[in-house]
This record gives sequence, C-alpha cells and structure tokens, in this order.
Amino acid sequence: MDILKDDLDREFLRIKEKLEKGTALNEEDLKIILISTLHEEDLHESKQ
Amino acid sequence: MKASNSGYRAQAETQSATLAIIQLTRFGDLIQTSQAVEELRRFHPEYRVVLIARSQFAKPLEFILKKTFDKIYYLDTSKLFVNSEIGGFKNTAEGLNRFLGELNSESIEVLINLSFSKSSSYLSSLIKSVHKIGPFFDFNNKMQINDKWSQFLFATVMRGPLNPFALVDLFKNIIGIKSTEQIVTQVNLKNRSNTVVIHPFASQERKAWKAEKWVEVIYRTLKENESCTVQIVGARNEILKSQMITENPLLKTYSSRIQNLTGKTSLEELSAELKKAKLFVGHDSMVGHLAALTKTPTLTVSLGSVRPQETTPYHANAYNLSPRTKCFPCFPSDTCSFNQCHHDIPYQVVSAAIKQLLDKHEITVEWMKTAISSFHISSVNFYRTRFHNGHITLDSLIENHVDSPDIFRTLYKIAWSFVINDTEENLPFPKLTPVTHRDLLDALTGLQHLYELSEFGKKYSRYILEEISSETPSINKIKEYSKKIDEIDQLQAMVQKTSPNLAPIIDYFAVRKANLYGDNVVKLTESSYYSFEECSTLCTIIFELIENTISEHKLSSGKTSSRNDANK
Repeated sequence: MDILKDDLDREFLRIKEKLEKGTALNEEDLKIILISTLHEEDLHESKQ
Repeated sequence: MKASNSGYRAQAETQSATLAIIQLTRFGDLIQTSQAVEELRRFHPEYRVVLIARSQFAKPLEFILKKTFDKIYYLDTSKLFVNSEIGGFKNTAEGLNRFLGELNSESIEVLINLSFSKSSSYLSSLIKSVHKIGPFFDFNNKMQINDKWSQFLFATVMRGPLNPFALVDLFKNIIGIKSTEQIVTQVNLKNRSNTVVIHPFASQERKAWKAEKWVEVIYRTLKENESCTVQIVGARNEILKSQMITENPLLKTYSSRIQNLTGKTSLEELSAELKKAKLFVGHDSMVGHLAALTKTPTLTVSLGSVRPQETTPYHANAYNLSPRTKCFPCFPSDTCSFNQCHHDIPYQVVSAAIKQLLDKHEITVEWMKTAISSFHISSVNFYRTRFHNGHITLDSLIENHVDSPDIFRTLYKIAWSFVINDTEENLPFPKLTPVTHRDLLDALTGLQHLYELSEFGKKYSRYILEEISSETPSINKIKEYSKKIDEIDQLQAMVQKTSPNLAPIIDYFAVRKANLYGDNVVKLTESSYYSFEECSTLCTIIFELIENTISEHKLSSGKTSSRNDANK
C-alpha cells in the first residue's frame, strides 16, 4: 500500500473538479501537482 | 536540501540584483547552463546568481557549478519522498514547504527557468520573484511562456533538424546576454599525455554505436598511433557494456594500452583525466560537455535523435560527425529496429579523424578531400565549430556539400536573430545544388501562403479592435472575426504539410499565439495583431534571403535565365 499515491490520487480528483468548474487553483494545489510530477519523473529516471 | 557557502565563487564587491536559474534536468544540461551563466558573469559580475537544481545531478557537478554560481539550492527528491509510502503526502509537503521557504527568503529579481520540464514549470510558479522568464503554470493550470526566446526554445528544440542555435546560445539569449565576441584561448596540447578518452555510450541505445564498431575504432587507433593510449570512461551502469569492448579478442594485442575507467571515477576525477588527455571521442553525452570545459579537443559522433547543432560540445574547433540518413535526426518517440544512421557513419572516418587530430590537431576541408575516400564520405556530414558574433556555428568540412537543412539553418539564423534579437548576422551565401535549389523554390510558395495568411490575421485582429472601440460593439461580429482568426491559425498549420522546411516558423507562432499578452480582449487582440505582424516580417525576410541566395547562385554558375516558378 502506497499512502502517498492514495493521497495524491484523492487530491488530484479534487483539483480536477475545481478545473472542471472553472475555479482557479491556489498555491497548495500547484504544490500537489509539483509533488506528483517530481514523483513521476523520479520513477522514470530510476528506470533509465 | 541545503546550500553552504564554502568554495563558491568570490563575490563581486557590490552585488545588485539576484537572478535565480532553475535547471532540474540532467548533467549535460547543467554543464551547458553553467557555460551560459559564465558568459553572464563576464559581462555582469555585479549580479548574484543562484542555481536551483536536483541533488542527484548537481551534487556530482558541484566542483564546476560552485565556480559559476553564488549559491546552489539542491532539490533532493530522495529525501522528499523518503518513507512517503507510509508517511503519505503530509511529510512530503512539509519537505517541499521547507525548500520553498528557503528559496522565498531570497529576494529574487529575475527567475529564469531553463529546464522546460513539467516539474520545473510548476516549481517556477511557486517561487516568488519580480520577473519570470521561461515556462511556468498559472492558477488556471495553463503553461505560460512570456519571453520570445523561451517560446522559440519550446517550439523548436528537439523538433526537426532546422534549429540553428546551440542550446548554450539559446540559454544565453533567454538570459539576455548579447555578446558579440567570444574569448577563444589557444590550448597547448604539447604538455598533455598522448591519451584519447573515449565514452562509447549514451543515455539511449539509439544514440550510441554497438560495441563492435567501437572495437574497430579503438583497434585502428592503437594500431596506427603507436605511442597512444585509450581510456574508456563511463558510469557504473555502463561497466558491462565497456567489458564487451575491452574483452573483444581483436583488442587483446593492445590490452596494455587500454585503460577501462568505466564506473571507477567521480565526475571530478573524470574531469581531471580529460584535462590530461589530447582528445575526447564519444557520442552526445555529458562527457563531451565536460571535455569542452577542460578545453580538451572533442570529436562527437551524433546518432539517433541527437541534433548536432543543438548539443555539440560548446567550444571552438569541436568536431562533429553525423549521418546523412533521411530520418536523422529522429524523435525520441520514434520506433526504429534497424538504426540505419548507425551504419551510415563508417568507423574508418572516425579512426582516420582521430589519427589526424592526434598528429596535427586539426581537420580541414583539404585533408578531408585527400585523406578520406569519397565512398566513406558520401553518407556523412562532418562539421567543425567556430564562434561567430558570440554564437557557435557549425561549418561543413566536406567540400561542395551543403544540404537543405544546412541552408535553411543559415537563413533561419539570420532571420531569427533579426526578428527576436534585433541583431544582424552576416553570413556568406550558401552554394546550391539542384536538390537544394528545388527545396528553396518550394519554400517560396509556402512562405507566400504564410505571409498572406498573416496579413489576413492582422486584418481580422484590426476588425475586432475597431468593433470594440465602436459606439455599439457587436458581440456577434467580434465572435465572427475571432472564428476567422482560428481558421487562419489552422490554415497556417496546414502549410507545414506542403512546406516542411517552414515548420520552425509555424511551430514558433503557434506557441506565440498560445501565449498572447493581456488580461482583456483589447490587449489580447493587440497581441494577436503583433504576432501576425511578426510572422509577416519573418516570412518577408526569409523570402528575400531565398531570392538573393538563388540570384547569387545563378550569377556564380553563369546562368542568366529567370526563375520560372509559380511565385515569380
């Protein structure tokens, strides 16, 4: 079980809903996306 | 994620503004960033320059980066994600907040994102600074790129083969360094050992020859240069591949003159080895950039998705061999099982070039003509770098061989420098062949279409502005004109299909239009107008350059007949 992944999935759903409603994101939302992106890039890097 | 001040460059007496550079990508990009910032240092020692980079790439290069930057902020993702599977998001967010807190305690005047990765763009959006250059995300999750050179880099680098600028020069342009001269110091190679450092690997298989071909090169190098030794260098994960070379039976006789350092050196130690060597030979990788920093002559063999113009080691008299294969350079996403480009560079050319560089330290057009068989030359491009107006240029070393991408790059270099930088490049007219002549004529037709569409774009942008400023603006009319502009954008994109050599113009203006300035309809429409106007200007310049090139060709070849294409 990966708690970070579960947390990020949940937060992403919330951010997606915000964007669908046309609501602007805030700094906390951008931080979540940044963490997720860094995580993805690290996984990709470790495969190289 | 800490920055210490020990060993950093001596600070100028009065430092003014702080510039922060984000470079989150790999070793090679960090070295090239450092080379660009070195130029900034030369012209503006008063600026305080800090670097934001990933620990895993920046720490091993600290010995170089410390000389260039006043401070380095290390983004250590291994610490950020430690125990995250059980700690969850909260711990990671706390780590990120600490890192951002440190950065935001800096009083940053200009933040420059040079990495163009998704993560660097989000990071840029979270760092406080007066001005932002390069990509960042806004609160609508839309990527913004407001400066023209970053738009250019985003649209052109790693696309087709027509970007005329080295990555370091693009970084310099983005930062705003307008140097017209480059200090080129002569290197005394007499005191160096007769060693060739070879890095026969690359980050992707498509960018590197198989072991057998390197075995042939090393065998010939050692056979033909009796006092020479070869050092094979690489990372730990390349040890097995290096053994496939060193343990090949063909090299048994010369094993005492081969030193396999793969996986045995830190980057600092590798840099010291390069400093002692007479020559570096390898594929496109970080080691070539490290060699350029140590002023070691380089010979790069570019394969696969490598664009020699973008990433050949940034120093004068760097040599580059690349294939003339039709699909070269490809895209990282392309599938390829045969790697034709690997076969199109004969190992004989590489070993002959090594011998010449060891003996005479120089390769000339004359030498190419006499020493290399036409049979071997016919499938390769061979370039040498030189500085021109502060930017690096690749000159062909093969007499009477300039292909269409070479010609278009020359024309684009003149046009982009004028349109974006307002600088004039004086470059000689390229010599044409029937094939390049035909390609230029084809481009004239596409340029005419692009120009006319841009003029329509200007017209409808103006209609919108007139409608808005009228006493009773009609929403329907504004919508109708906006729809026309959308159609124009689509038609411009279609020109690329018939005139692929115009792709850089179309790609650049697509990015420009996606990043129009302004927060209201008037400002956005004005920005749209200027974007179409710039496209018209660029098309006019390239059109005239092509016409002049063709006229010059006709004059020099004694032909006096006039052009008979559709655009006469």
